[in-house]
Amino acid sequence: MTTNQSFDSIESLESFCASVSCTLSSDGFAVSVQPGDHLVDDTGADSLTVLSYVSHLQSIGISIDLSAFDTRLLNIDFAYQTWLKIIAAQHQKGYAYETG
Amino acid sequence: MRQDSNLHLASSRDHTIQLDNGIQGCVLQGKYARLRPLAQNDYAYFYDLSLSAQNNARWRYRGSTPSPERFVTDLWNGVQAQFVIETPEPRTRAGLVVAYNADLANGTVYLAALIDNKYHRQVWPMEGVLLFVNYLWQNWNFRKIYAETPEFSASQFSSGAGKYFVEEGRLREHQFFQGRYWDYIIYSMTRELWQEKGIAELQKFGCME
Repeated sequence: MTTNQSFDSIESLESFCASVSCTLSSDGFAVSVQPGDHLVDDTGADSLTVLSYVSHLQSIGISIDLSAFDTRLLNIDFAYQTWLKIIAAQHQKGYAYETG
Repeated sequence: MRQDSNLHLASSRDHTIQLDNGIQGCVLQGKYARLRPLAQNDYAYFYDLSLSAQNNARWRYRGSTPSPERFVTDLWNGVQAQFVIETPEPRTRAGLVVAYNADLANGTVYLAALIDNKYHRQVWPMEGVLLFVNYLWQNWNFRKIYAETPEFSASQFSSGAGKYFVEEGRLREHQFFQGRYWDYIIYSMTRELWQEKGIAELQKFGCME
């Protein structure tokens, strides 16, 4: 799965979870993420899996400063909401550019 | 003249702070984590960390409580290299990585990592561990790096088995902990696996903004 494919196919929390699961699987980590899951507490992800997960979030546009990592991003619902806000901000910026 | 005096005082103060942080030579700098040699003023911190409720059974003492004197002796026993993992700025202690029981004739060494519980859900400590693994490959002609762990601790990194390292051996029902016996697992990473897949994980940290 490419970054663009995962980005374009995200239409809901469920598809967001599917894109995360697919990326982790392609990276060799057998983790299935469901809505409401905490990556560590619910799926049992370890440090290597979390690293892959964070790389995935980066690839779909979530800017993460690892020196001050917000552990709430380990909650898939929070990560999805964060991503939605970023997409909304990008659309707003694009709309302003087109109409400006 | 007064300015020179102030400069001297500032310099002395900086030097004192550096000494308090430990030895400054041979520092391995990642994008987030930093590794520096272990110093005497780190001993109390690692004594507490090793005997903490979360680590006492996982780290070498398996529930026992060594004297501080024995702890310091053990800390250096069989060590090939070890570094303190430091947090991103402002730098403070976050853990220890150690290579021990090196067999230079046969090209093997054991790796262990102890991370402060405060940082278990942070991502950057992994950078410190990977920096150290890279350091071991670069400085010695090792063929394999082993990691040994009781089964109940393996869940902290076992997702890498089959990808970054392989299970080399397993002692069945070897270690008693919390009312039952657990397997004891020995993993190994080869230089080839590191070059093929492991180093890419270290490089991920350089790409993250």
